Amino acid sequence: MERSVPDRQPEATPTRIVVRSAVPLDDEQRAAIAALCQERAPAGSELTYEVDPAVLGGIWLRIGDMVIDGSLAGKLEQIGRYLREQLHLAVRREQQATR
Amino acid sequence: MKSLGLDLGQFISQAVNFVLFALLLSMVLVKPLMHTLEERAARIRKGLQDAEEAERSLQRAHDQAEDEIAQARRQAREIVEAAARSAEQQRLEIIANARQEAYELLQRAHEQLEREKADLQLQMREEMIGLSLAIASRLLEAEIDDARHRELVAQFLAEAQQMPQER
Repeated sequence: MERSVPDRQPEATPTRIVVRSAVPLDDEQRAAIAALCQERAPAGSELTYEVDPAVLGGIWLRIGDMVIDGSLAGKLEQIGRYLREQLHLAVRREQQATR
Repeated sequence: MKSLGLDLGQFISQAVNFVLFALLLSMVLVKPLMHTLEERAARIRKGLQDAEEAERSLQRAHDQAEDEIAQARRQAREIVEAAARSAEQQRLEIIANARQEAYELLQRAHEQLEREKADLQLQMREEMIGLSLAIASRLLEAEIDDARHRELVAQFLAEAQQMPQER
């Protein structure tokens, strides 16, 4: 699961929380996520649920500027980044070998 | 003498006269004539010497002219040869430069081609990765059922709980 945290400290003031999933979450799941956000977000933060098929599976969560990406789309993106990095490394090694 | 009809006295007188006349003639006419002849001979000799000297001078001038002409020809030949050598040198330099430029141009073109080929290969591989991910995405989209969705959400919650809080 990928998590990106902004450089500055999280605000103490209420913030906006976005929960994105591929299919609508049931009450039990929403409650669990709300509990999770309560621990991490300032009191009074607004929680919004969004359905986006592009997420594929899992949850994409943003609390203010912090993003916790536990979605399959995010995992695929990580795999893509890793493959591209490896590809560029291989090309660089190949170029150095041919010089 | 008398038998010959000659008078000795007259003969002697005539002989003396002749001698005197000869001496006089010699003094008055022959000496100046001889002097004139010697002067003329001297002038002729001098003229001949001058003519010989002039001929020698002419020969020297002719030889000098020949030498100068030969030297001028030699110098002209050297200039022509130097010009030909210089032209040949320039021709070789131009050919060498042209070959070098052509080689460098070819080398640059080859390198450019290699770079473009490598870029194209990289681009193709990146596109293959993108395409593979897109296919994987479509497959996942089609394959994931409700139960798997629930599993993934549960997994997310479990992992998120493990993360340190940053409030």
